[in-house]
Amino acid sequence: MKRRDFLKMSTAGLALTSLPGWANIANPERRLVIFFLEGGLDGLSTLVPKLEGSLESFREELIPNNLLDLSSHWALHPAMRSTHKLMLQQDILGIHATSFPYTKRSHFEGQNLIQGGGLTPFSESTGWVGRALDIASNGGRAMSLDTPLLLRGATGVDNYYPAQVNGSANPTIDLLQRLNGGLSPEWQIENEKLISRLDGRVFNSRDRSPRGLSAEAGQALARPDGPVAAMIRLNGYDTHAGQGGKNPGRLHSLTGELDTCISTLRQNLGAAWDHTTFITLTEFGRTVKVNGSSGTDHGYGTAMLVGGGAVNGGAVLADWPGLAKSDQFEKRDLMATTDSRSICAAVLEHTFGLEHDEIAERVFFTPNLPRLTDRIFL
Amino acid sequence: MKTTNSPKSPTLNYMMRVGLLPRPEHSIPGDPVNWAIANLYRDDPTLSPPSDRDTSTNLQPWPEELDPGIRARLVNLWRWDEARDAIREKMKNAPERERQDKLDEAQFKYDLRWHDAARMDARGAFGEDSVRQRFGHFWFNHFTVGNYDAFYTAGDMYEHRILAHMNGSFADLLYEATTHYSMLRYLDNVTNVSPRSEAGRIRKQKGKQVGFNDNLAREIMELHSCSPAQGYTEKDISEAARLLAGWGDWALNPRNEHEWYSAKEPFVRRQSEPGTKVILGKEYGSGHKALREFTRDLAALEQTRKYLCHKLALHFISDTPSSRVTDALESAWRQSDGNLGKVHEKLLELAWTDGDRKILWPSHWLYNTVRISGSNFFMGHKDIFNRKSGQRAMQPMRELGISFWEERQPNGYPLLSKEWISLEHLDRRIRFASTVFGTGSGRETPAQIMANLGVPKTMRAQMLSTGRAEEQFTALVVNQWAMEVQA
Repeated sequence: MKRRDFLKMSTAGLALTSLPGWANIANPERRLVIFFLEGGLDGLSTLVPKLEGSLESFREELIPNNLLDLSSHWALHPAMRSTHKLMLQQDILGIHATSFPYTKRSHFEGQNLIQGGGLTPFSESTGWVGRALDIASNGGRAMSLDTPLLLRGATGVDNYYPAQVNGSANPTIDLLQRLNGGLSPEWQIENEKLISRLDGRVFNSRDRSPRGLSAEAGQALARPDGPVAAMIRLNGYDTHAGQGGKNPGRLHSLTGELDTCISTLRQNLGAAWDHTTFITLTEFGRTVKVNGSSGTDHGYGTAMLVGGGAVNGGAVLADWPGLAKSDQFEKRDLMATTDSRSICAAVLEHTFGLEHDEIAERVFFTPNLPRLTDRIFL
Repeated sequence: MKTTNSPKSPTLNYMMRVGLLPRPEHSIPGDPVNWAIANLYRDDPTLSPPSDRDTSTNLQPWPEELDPGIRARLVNLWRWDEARDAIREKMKNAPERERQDKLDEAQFKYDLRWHDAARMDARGAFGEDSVRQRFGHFWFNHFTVGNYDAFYTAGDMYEHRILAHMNGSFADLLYEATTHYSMLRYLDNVTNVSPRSEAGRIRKQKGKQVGFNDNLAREIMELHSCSPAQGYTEKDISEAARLLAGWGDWALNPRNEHEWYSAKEPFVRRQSEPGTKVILGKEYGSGHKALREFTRDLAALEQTRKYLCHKLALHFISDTPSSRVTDALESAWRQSDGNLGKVHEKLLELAWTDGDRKILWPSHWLYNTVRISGSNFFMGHKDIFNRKSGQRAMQPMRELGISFWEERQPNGYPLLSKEWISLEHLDRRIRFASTVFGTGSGRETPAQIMANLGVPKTMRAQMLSTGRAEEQFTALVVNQWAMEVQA
């Protein structure tokens, strides 16, 4: 593959269309889902640049067998059959050689930075989705026990994670009202959300797997009065050992789980898929070369998926840097040539109808952030 | 100490900050700071009712055979592997459910994690060494071992590395935590093998993958000691990985008589990297002694002192610790040459005068709730051998999102109050309040609890004015005075 070739390869040769100005119209039915892949996704074995000659020399045992072809240049991990199908239907776009501007390879700094969306780790107490929800006066839902940094910053954010406490019943509204006076203000806000949740639909599902949460998120987002954004965490991507490739290993189960989440979300959204966008986020990619324990260590550039009915999918968007040693970041990692924040900004622009400049300035504090919206959405 | 309009005395507020609330049978200390300092050094056995069906006054020591030491645990682990293979083979045509039953039964026999989790909770519910426990939880969280493979031996690490060394020098604690099997396993150092070592060369000849794994090398600096503020480079990390190569073991089979089963340290020379390593500008030789030297050097760094004093202050004193607090802790660290007991003592003094509002970890809230209720909520050691109930041993902390035996990332559970506020966390508090109220013998009424804790009479009357006893109890513990420590 040629270096610095801007690759935009449609698998079915569909003409690329864009509808300028669309993003500025308020579309209250639009939804956003974030799959947060904790641990650092190995982009090179998930979205595989199969023509890249040096791939074999650096990581032969990590290249999966039975890759799912997307084009002459790209293939998907074999555990991602549903994703593959949706990519062929042009509903999912791959983005490669991308990262947030963070190069130090710490999980915890990295996760903080990609959720906070600030200029340095730990600089922000709110998240970039939370800030955008706040500007757009919308609500979101974290599919977890806690409320992650990514969604903090907007008042309308709640969370959902079904309890499995033996012998306990849903608290009654009477009880919650009685408790309210004894709580400090931050807890009162949560208590009010709990009251309004009980006031409406009571959740019956007890499934807390990422798949179960994807189903629940899909159903919630599909409702006209449902949350506008949801975040689902998937963990275990820190594949230092036994990552697998020629033989199925940890990455096989992980990408398989993500694949199930994507198809479950799509199924549960129903017609709402057409106005929903999902993205995957991860703190960094992994080393190009296999390490001593058939895994990979912390790296830099990685791959990302953006999908949904309005996404101009079926392709991989990459300013491909090449994999020769001299092309690697610090001679060990895939270089990142696309700022992931541009992808996130495009998704916010599309979903919330905010101006790109406003997002760049008020959400990412980077006024000159490149705009990629027209490359991502139809 | 200022607690205005609080039903809670300054002493109870302080006990919540650095320890746990008293059970009805415990006394409330007259001199809180000296109580806390003495409590830090207690060496109590774990006492608990043998079963959750026993009365809460029937306290018996946790059986010694449930803490058999690291070697016995690893032998158990290997036996479990063998038993699993045998059951799968023998029952391959049996119905799935029957096979799973047999597998569960075998696992309960060999895997002590349920016992370990129950033991920690029993201490939380009954132990009078609550200050010691709180610091134990802090350091066990600092040295997180958070995956399936590490859990087999995590209880051993807590008892014999964390609790045993947390009041000694930080250099020793760092070394002891780093070289425990759970840590070597969790952060993949068991697979960190030098390609130039004897074992590495053989593996290469066989065409197998071999090389360094930098997971533990990175986290020992980033999370366990100096933090990124030190400004180390990737080169420092890869050199540290070279130094750490050989710590741990590929094979888990003790019948192989691997050298570390007879050696004092889990260091396999034939997997280690020969030659000199240079980390943060200092040279280290080969062999197992280099790690002792390296951890001692990490412990002596100014950034290690700053990072750990700040972290201690974050957990116990304030979400935004003042420089007065961190300076005083750092000064105690310097004067004692990194003796954590002295640093903890200073923290216990500062906690009386300088504490800010903090939201308690949900685990500490649940221990307090069980303690003040006088009930016997958690399982005793006898319950675990019953598989059906044993599996529930880990449920409470898992539901509260703070189990030490749940998969999690190496940075452990968050220390900042705001991380623990959410609608679902509130929901869990309410559910557990109701289940604690509904279980156990010897439970106190809400009126008795408030009298025991010395809540002023007018406030007692106000809190008891409406609702059934269960609602009164819930209102008593799902309340800012019970979920938070006040300034």
